[in-house]
Amino acid sequence: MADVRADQRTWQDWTDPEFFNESKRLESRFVPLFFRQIFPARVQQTKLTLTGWMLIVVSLGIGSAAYNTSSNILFMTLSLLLSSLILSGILSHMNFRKMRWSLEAPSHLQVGEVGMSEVDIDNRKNLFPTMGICFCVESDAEEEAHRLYAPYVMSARETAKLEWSIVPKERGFCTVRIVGIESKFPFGFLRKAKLLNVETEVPVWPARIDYFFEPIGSGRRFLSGAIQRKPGQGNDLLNVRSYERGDPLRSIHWKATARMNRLMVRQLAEEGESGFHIVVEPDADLWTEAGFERMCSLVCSLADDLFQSDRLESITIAGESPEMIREIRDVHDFFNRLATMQRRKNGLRLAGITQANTITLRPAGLDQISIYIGEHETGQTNA
Amino acid sequence: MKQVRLTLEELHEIKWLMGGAITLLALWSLASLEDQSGLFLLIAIFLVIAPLWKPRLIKRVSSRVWFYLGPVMLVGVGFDFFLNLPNFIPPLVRLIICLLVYRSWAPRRQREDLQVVLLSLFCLVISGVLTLSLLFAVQILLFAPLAMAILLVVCLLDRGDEHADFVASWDNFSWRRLFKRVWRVANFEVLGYGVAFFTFVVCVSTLLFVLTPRFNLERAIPFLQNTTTARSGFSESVGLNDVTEIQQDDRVALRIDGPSKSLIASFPYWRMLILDEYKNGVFNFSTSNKVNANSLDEISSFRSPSKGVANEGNVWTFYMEGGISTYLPIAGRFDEIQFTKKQNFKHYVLPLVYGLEEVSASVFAFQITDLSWDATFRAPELEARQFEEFAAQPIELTGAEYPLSTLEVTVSDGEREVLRGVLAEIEFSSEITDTKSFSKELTEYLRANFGYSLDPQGIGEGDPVVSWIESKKTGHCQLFAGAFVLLAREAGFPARMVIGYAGGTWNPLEDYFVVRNTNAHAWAEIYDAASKAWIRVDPTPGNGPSDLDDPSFALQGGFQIETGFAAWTDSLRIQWYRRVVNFDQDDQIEMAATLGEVTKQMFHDFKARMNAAMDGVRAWLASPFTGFNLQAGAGIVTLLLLAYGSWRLRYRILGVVFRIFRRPAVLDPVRRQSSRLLQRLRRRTASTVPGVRWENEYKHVSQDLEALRFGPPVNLTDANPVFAQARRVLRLPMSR
Repeated sequence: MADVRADQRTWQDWTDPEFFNESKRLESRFVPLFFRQIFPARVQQTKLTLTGWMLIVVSLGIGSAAYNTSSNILFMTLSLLLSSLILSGILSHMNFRKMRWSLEAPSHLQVGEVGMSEVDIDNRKNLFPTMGICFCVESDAEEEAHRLYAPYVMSARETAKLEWSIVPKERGFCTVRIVGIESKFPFGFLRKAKLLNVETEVPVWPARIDYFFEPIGSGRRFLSGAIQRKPGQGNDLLNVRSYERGDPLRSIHWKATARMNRLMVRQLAEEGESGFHIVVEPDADLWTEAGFERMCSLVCSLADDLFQSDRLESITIAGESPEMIREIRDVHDFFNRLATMQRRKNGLRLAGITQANTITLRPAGLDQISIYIGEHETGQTNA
Repeated sequence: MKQVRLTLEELHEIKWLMGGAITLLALWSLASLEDQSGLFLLIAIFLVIAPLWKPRLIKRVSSRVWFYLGPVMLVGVGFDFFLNLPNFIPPLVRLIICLLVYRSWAPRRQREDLQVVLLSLFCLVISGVLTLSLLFAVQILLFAPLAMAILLVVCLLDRGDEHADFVASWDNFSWRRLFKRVWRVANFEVLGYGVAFFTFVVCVSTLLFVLTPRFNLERAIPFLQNTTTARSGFSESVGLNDVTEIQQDDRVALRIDGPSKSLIASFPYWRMLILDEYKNGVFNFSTSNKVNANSLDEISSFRSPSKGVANEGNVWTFYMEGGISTYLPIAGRFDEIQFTKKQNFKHYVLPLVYGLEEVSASVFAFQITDLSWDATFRAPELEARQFEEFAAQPIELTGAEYPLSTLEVTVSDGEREVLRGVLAEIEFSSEITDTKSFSKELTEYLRANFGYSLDPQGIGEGDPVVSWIESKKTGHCQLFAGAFVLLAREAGFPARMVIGYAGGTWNPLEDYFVVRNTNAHAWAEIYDAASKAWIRVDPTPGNGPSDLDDPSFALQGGFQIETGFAAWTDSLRIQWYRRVVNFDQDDQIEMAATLGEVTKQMFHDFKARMNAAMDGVRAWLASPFTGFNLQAGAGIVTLLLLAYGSWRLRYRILGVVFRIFRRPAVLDPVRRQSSRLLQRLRRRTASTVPGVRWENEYKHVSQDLEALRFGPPVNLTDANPVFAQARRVLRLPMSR
């Protein structure tokens, strides 16, 4: 099955290295060819509908009556029924021809939040419309598959987008897939389906949770040490540079932008006293399974909020080097790691606080988590 | 630009409209059945049109009505069947009408729409099978696109459970608005394709119809044969105005498909029934005739004891419209009658009349081989003997059986006096014993003294024919024939009235003979003891010569030609009967034989051309070599070599064509060439251990080639330097 799909893919894909080497793929052995005629690859499935069964029963009835009575009126009706079946097959074949589709999954999902996926359809036929097609889509996050109905009629060269929403229930990776495309066009005699299995994996970030966070010591210079002249989130202007994707909008230097005629942003000197460093400790001894999930959610929520307020400096997963957070992409990368983070055993706890404004998390009671800056408890998850 | 599309509501409205249209089409097809459901059908048509015209009406019907209507209909239909059994067709038709009306009012979902389509198809098939009418072709051609359009809309509306129970609200509905919307949305290009696809369906249907293997018709089971009653003018008991009534009807009664126009008599008489008994203005086919009939059940052909004169194997196909008579219109002697299906046939031996057990309600087709156009009919031996015995020893004729019933004059003595007076009035030139002279002079007398009119005058008290003779006023064919019969009998000649058709027209568009109901006619036959034959006499003015020995009596091929639109539409009917209704295994064999003949002929032609070409080649070889000859020879040899090469490489060429058609990207020369060079480079690297210089060059050029092969499109001019470089690298020595 997979081979058949791969074969079909390379057949049309000119980027395939074997694209020009056609002769190698031709099956010349008799037995495989013979069995391929009897058991064709299950790329397409065609099933009879109620209308199709009725057509068969009516055709059989009229056919047997025609043969028994030699009535040419009945032969004529039978011919018409059979020719309509032939036309149905031709139109059905044409309906799927030159149709292109792609799955546009979201870059990420978040537990409990609605995420939108879409199927982009393109009718590349020059003359004929495509009618009555439906995509069967599914995701790991949901038990049942969805049916996405394309517009009644898609004219030649028309495109369309079909959207469906996904609400994941747990973090990790969620596979979003187009299972197949099907249609009863034109007369509903047959339900013709093509298995597609176009899929993509989307990271599912932990859910947002409610918490309170009041960093008492934040902003106190005695905790920050000397002023560092490196790019950061301080108040002193260090440089003006070109805008890069992910830069916060509030950092745009409008005067410089107007002068240079392109987007420029302020690069501030790092001061350190206002930024926080989150440390994540995925220690199995520290967290129960439920507590770990809750901790992931808290880290996700906290990191997101701190970044939104430009106060997130770095995130460190215990046992690894710190990841500096400079732009939204860094946060998303961390969330992607958070999506698949597992509890680990042995020594993955922070040895000691080495940096000011370091946020650590500890279980508090049965299902609460406390937020610490250094040794000070500065927040907690809401019950 | 955003496409304008019909809304869900509008699609439902269109579906409703098409459902109504197909229902009306079904009712129209049932209308041609003539099964006494006319009023019922009229009401049904009105009930179907009403919710189409004002769809809001259906919202006024409470859902409870649909709940109770089903059982009520079931009981009603059950009673209808019970009361009409064994004739199940009329109640079946009424049942379908009820269901169609029910479906045109009740809300319809996918299943109900399918039901409407199936019921309509059923109506069309039933009506087509029963009537065999050309109308079926028209109706099925209308039905097919309508049904396909309904199924298409149903398919488009099938969008899961969400839309399954959608019911159109009809609140702000107007057909005008809907048509405007459809007009706006209509894509005429797509409609054009629709027409093309429908044409395709018709062509494929025709092909399938022709190619579907058939069995012999003799094995066919009689199926849904609708019977009716004969026209009173062509029944065993005919009143004085019955034939005239038929003459008022201009419809075609009979179409005759013969081998040639020149083989038909100029004024053919299609003899259906003889009427030997007469009483008080009513002529009857006597009971003794019916009793003595030779009944042949379930036969598909009947061979006549008296063969036709031609004996040339000429076949005449008759298409007799339904509801005319059980008696077959036959012009004279024949060799054999063949039917399309098995029939219960009756051969009335003495009066030479042929009939069926029942009157077909639809077109009835039969074939006659070697038909003669007879004006005289040789009396059977038994009949002639009875006349001879009667002549030798007359007996009392009151209530006599056939053939002596043809001598009985059942009028009062006073009226016989009138008849004798008329006979005395006629100045017969010779002895009254000469039948032909008597007939001629009596015919001339009647033609001279009586005028022709469809509205007879002078019929008074007493016997109508005698009173008409006495009045000497105008009358129609039946009065002329009746007067002739009575006067002949009074004169001692056996005479009988004959009813059937006289004359007809020729349709040159499809070359067949047409007989209309206006050609219905009554004439007489008189027995000539000398020749022991019945001689046809037509005393009606204007119908041929009175002299039976007149040569124009048997003049051939001089009848009127049909022209105009009516002739064209009628020619469609004969085509329908010839090529569709009566298409059978023999036609298939004939078609196959024709095809075989054509192929054989083509092969012979081809062979002849090849021989001619070979002769040309031989002549060319034999002729002295010249420059032109050599050039021509070289050209031919090249062509032959090309043909041979193409034949050898046919699969490869086909494969290339197929692949180019399926994968136009293989035509990109840059990608193709870079792919080829890359492969050569890789093969070379794989074969030996390359030197450092070669490896550097290889790496460099490989990257360029890969960019050409897999990267964005590059034109050939830009790619050529890279190809040249690659070729140079390939030529480099591999050593270190």
